[in-house]
Amino acid sequence: MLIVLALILALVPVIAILYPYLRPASAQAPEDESSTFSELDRRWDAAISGLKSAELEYSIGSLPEQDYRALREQYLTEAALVLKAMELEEQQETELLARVEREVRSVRERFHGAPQPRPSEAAGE
Amino acid sequence: MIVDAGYVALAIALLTIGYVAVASFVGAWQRIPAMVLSARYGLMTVPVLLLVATIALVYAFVNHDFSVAYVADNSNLAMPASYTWVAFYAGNQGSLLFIALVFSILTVAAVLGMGRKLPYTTPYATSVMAGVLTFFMFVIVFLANPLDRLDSMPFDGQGINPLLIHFGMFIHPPVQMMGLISVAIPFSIAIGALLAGRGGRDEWVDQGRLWGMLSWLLLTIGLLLGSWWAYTILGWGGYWAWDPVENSALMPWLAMTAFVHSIMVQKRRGMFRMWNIVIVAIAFTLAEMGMFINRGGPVPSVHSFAQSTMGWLFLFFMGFTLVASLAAFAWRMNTLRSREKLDSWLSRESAFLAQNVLFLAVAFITLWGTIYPVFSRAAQDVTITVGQPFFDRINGPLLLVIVFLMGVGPLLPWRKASARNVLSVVKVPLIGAAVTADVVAAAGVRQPVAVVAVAVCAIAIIGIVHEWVRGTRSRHSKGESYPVAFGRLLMANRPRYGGYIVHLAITMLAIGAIGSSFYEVQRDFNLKPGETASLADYTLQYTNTTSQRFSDREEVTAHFTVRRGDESLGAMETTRSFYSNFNVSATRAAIRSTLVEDLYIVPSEFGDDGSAVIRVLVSPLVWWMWAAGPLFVFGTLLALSPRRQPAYAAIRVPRGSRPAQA
Repeated sequence: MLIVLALILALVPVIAILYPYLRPASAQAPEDESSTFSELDRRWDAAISGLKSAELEYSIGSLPEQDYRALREQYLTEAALVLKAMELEEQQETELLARVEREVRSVRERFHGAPQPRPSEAAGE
Repeated sequence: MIVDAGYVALAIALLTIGYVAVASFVGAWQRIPAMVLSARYGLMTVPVLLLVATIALVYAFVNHDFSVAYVADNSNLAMPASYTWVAFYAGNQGSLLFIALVFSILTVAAVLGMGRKLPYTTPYATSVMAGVLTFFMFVIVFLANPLDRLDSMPFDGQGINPLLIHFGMFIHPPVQMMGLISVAIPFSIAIGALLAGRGGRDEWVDQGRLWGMLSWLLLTIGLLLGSWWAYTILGWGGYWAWDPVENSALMPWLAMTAFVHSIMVQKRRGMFRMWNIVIVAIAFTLAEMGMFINRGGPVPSVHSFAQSTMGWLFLFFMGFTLVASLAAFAWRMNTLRSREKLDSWLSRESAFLAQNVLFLAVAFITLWGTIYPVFSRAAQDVTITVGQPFFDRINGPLLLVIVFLMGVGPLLPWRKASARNVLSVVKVPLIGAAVTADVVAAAGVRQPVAVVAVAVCAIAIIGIVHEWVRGTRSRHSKGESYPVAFGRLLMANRPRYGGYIVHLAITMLAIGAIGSSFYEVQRDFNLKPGETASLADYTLQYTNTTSQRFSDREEVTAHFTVRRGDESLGAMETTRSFYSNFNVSATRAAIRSTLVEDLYIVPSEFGDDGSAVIRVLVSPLVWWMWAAGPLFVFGTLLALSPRRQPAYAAIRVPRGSRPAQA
């Protein structure tokens, strides 16, 4: 009886450990957490938190107007730069994808000739 | 058979967690997703296996199976069934199993929580956590197995340590052990990020902060409950004696306090990246040092409860993790440069940095005082124990400066404050502190150090309250009622105001410590029935003594009627129990606690003629220390509670989105 119990107990981790090897489709390489976008995302959050904090301190009188304006300008500049960087990254990514798509299309054309218009395009839609 | 099944489960758990430690690292290093996932799934089964072993041990306790050595050593037939929970971790082997079970559950929770957010870091962090758990499992299976059998089964067990028969023991040891081992989680996340090459980016910061604060909260509750237990049952009238076991819990708490502050600077400014990795490694090393001291380290202590001869194994493991984390740090150091630099020494981050340095200074002074007997024995062949005066004299002023920075630091803005700004935010707290100092001096507080200490606490309290008042007024001026305005103010910036509530709790602790350290009075009396004794404003009349014999102890209770001036305060009774099996006496003090002071009566000796030698203490402000506990919990949970995304986030472009195609 104890041997049966021990086998059952051993089977639990064995099945758990072997499952991903037997079904490799269940395991996929993860996306990198350290993308430029995620870094920009964090910097955006930090700038917004800083701005909110400065606004709170100013509203309750902890921060004189001159200091508040200086801090606000710093945080807004940082937030604007982050937004710009996000747009640039997005634009670069879009351009890169468009370029890849163009390359793929040109390769396909070289092999198969000019693309046939789709039925919807042929109907003038 | 259930016990044997538990035995087998422990062995399988060791093999599984060993595999997890290796596979998670190799899978991440060699980029084999199936291996990483296999390690993760394997990890999920470890708490189940450890739960089987735990159930087996509890089953043995409940059924008085004294063939299990640990059950025979830590329980007997007379032990109330409710103390099975305490007996489970009352000794070395059971406490190790408890730590392993809790840590396995925390590890699974941490891995599930960060798996999607930190896909690269998580496998390495999992490997580090599994490595720590493998060490514990190795010790349990080969050196301290709580399910080991005796050759012959005794008729009855030895019984539970009498000092552990106290309500506080249901919570204090488990929370303390959870606190110490939970430091391994933020440590593993930090080292995981380092190994993954992501330490220089700040992805791990949110998870590190979350687990750092939870760990800090557990350590705080453990420390407070331990002090309360010492105060009510050890019978010496105090709550903190700078004993090695107490220090071993305090040191990681100090380092973790520094960490939960400096991690905020990394989150907000991308600074202190190296510092945070170092400080969390120090915190884990100090937590391991605590376990080493608790488990038969070379330092004499009045109340380490799980003594064993395996302390040196823990010391070796501590050395190994320290060297390994230093090696990882050195390897990845070039990736840990801060994004920004300090704009000014007059800023919140500078105050945090100064506070960090002071926390570490107190931790290392405490460490030095704790292990000094070892050095003195090695150098002079004489064991010199460092006592309370050393710690009070050195740590006291440093802790006072920390409380000062705690009061002033949060009032400063991030990045840079002008001199005018600093003056405007500290003006009210400083004036309030000066007024408070005058008031307490007028009320009869004469010791200059005590007056200064109270004034410093006043700075912290007034700074917080002043900001709350201004914030509430500001919202009230926009049409909100005062209660709504205050509630919304707290909710609008939970990390900040949760932190303030924790700071208030720290100040309450400080006030209790100041009052009881500087103005406690105590006196010993030898009284015959009917005689009275007076101390401060109190008059005690010793009525009589009653005795009662139980199967495991003989209990003597002294009864008193107490007056304060002309006011009758009713009856009080204090008990002394003698456990012949252990040759140990445990006292239960009579405590009358008010907001102003505690009256504390504890018996020292009972004479055959009915006389009693008692110690009476009047300790001001002790109540405030225990009242701080719920505030710690509330403040920390408020600071950790999830926030709604700021409205500004709505304009962000989510990753992967594309402009609409024409």
